[in-house]
Amino acid sequence: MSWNLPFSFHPFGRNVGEISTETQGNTARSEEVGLLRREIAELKGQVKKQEVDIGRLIREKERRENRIEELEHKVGFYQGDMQRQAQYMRAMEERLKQTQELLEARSAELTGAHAFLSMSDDQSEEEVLGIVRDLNENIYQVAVDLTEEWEKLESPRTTSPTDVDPTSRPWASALIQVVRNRDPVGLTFLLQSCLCSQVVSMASSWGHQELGVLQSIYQRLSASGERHR
Amino acid sequence: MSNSRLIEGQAISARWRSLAYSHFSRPPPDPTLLVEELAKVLDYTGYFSSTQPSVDFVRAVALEGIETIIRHTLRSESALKVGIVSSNMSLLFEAPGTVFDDTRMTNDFGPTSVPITEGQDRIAGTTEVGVGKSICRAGEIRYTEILLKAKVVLEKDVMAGS
Repeated sequence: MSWNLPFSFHPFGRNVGEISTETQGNTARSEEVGLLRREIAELKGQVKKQEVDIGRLIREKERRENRIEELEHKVGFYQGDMQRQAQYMRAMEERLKQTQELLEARSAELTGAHAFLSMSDDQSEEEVLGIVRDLNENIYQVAVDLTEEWEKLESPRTTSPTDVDPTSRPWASALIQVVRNRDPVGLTFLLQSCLCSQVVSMASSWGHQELGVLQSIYQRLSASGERHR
Repeated sequence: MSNSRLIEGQAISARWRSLAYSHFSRPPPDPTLLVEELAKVLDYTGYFSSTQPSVDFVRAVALEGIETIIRHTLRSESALKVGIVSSNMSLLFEAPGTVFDDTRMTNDFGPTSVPITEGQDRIAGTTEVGVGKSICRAGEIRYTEILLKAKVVLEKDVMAGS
């Protein structure tokens, strides 16, 4: 069978130059293939290395994620613990405050009890006398103020002087005669006498009525003190 | 002092003081009583009428002073009964119309004191209250030591001045 080829094909129909060129081309391609293969191998190495690196990084990432999760868990635990500690602190502060208040109350009671249990005087006689002198001074001042204003009364006597029953009033019937003569000094004395009488009466109410028990206790106290003085 | 005696004394003292504190912590009495008593004194002068009541006069002039007197009275009584528990101290007041006794003006007097009532001077009124301390040592008669003498006006002096 014969083919009609557009060119004459004969393996042995080419010249040596063509063959040499082709050989050189093959050699170059072979070298190129070798280079490419090396390059591929190199790239594969790099890929493998990168895969290793990626694996390492993934593991590192996982480790860090685990670490973060662990730390978050710890943070949550510590936050809860801090809240519990804060609650405990508040409770302790409240208890401390209550204890301090109780201590203050008990200390005050103890101080009061000491005052009650003490048989020594809280005040000196001189202090007491000073208080009574002040009282006398106030009595005098009120008597003087009233007398001075009474002297300024310009209207004539509008009523008859009230009759005095000396037994009904504990004060100064003799002075009343003087006062009726519009004697201001006598009036001052009379007012002082009246105030002194009322003051002593007020003070002596101490032993009366519901206070009788106090008087009894006071007498026993005095007697007890005197027995052992 | 034996321990039991001391405890007895303390128990009485404690009860006394606690009751006394409660007594003196009560509000002071109303000044109305003092106002009315002073008004009655002024009524004796005859210068007041129903249209010009002496009570209003006293209130206008001396209410503040009267309230001060009440406060000082309670303060003095508190001092005498609570501040001093080692002895029995009290206010001294000479009743008008009674015979003046010189011995009561001495530093101390008691049942054994012989009254000196020469001339039978009578007391017209007490112008300043005094303070006395009752003392009774074992085996002795109780007597009063005068710490602050009460000041009195005698009737004879009033009459001489009038």
